[in-house]
Amino acid sequence: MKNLDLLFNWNSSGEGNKIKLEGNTLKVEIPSKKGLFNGKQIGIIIKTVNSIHKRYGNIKISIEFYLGKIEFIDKLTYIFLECICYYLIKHGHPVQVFMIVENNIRINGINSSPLLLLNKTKFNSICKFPDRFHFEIYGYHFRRVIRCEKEKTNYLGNLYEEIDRFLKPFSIDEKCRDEVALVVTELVGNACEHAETDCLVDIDVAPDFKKRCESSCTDTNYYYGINIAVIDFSEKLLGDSIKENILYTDKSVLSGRYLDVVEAYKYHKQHFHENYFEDDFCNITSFQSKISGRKEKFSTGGTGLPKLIKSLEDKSDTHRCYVISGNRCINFYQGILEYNENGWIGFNNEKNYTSDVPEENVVGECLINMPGTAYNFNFVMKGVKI
Amino acid sequence: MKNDIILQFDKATTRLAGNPYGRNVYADQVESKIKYNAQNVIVFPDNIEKVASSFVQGFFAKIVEKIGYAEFDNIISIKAKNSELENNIRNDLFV
Repeated sequence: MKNLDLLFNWNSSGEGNKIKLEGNTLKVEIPSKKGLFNGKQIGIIIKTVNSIHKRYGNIKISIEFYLGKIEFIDKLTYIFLECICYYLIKHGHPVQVFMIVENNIRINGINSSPLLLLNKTKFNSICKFPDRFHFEIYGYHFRRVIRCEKEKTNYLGNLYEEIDRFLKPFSIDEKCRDEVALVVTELVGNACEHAETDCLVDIDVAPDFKKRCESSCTDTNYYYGINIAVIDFSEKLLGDSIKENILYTDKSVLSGRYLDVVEAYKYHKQHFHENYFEDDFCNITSFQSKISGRKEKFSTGGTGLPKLIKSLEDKSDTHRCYVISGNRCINFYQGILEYNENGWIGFNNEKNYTSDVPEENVVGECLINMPGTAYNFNFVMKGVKI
Repeated sequence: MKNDIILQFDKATTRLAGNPYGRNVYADQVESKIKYNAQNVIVFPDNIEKVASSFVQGFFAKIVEKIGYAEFDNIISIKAKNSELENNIRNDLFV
């Protein structure tokens, strides 16, 4: 997968965990607080890999990770672990990952993760890992790494159709299916067009869950989860083209809505603080309707992504969606995903982009420095037994 | 005066997506045929069931750049498999 090495280059400061050499194998223990495995542990593993490379250079030494009994916080987290293992295997390291994973509706996809090939399995299973990392459409799992070279063909239309076909057997409402397929397709398009890099898509459907209830609870409904991760590795971050083509360009070439963005920036700049600054402003601007990173007088662009998330949110019981890019994140919280009548989204209760800042905690720090953009979507839907 | 521009895609294609692909289809199949003094009808074949907004935005980018949004409906109309798809394509450009 293109540019995966950036994940290690961009997170090179600091020491990783202690490594133990036993025979020809490096053993790495990764502790997690109360078993919760999140971006912090991913950061530690990346730094540990960097130290291994520093200490052992090009020696293709075996590496074993011991994670203990853990619960991944979300899908994106274990997908990052897959990316790290893929990187190591591609660099010739036989890798094993030992873990006991607690399952829930958000991370049910771990059951079809290529990581299972590395969990107390024989060496030849490691050889299968790269293929499974790149492609799998089986049962409840859809996985593709999409190459960015074929821009002028209808490869995105084909992907749109493939995802819809994958979701069809699960009795998911047609509109919902279409929105999921569309969100993913448009995000892959953004990665290929703007970041000029490959894009990893992983979707799983988690069927037949019931709510954990107190004794008085009578909810007998079945719920299913739709979990999605979309990742691209690139030097280009989510808000970079907004920065280059609007904030730091000759303003005389801008017109219409682009000048509104410049005006909004003047307002927001006065309200920047240690947890809301220019990068965040550019990130939220990249979701505005008819604002695109392309240099053009009239923009027909804008992803409309929050509109689609809002629509899926309305259909779902709960959801957990966010995007990370660089060391910042945007949380797509409930109730803040509406555009106002002029096509602006403020990520605040007032739907005010031009003269109000996002609600508290909508933007925040990311636990790793993400080269490129990564989305995590989890929607829990009330439904039938699949 | 009406000017029908009938788009052609592989018969197996049911969905269109991607801004660059939209621009490409416009350049290949529309640019030389469009008449700015007539009502142009862009006809999507019946095998096309869904069109992503990225395609719509790329496809119509040059037209909007030339005539702006205000004049769009005077110059362009869209014909597709059903009225829902026609409305979706137009709305993706305007909303």
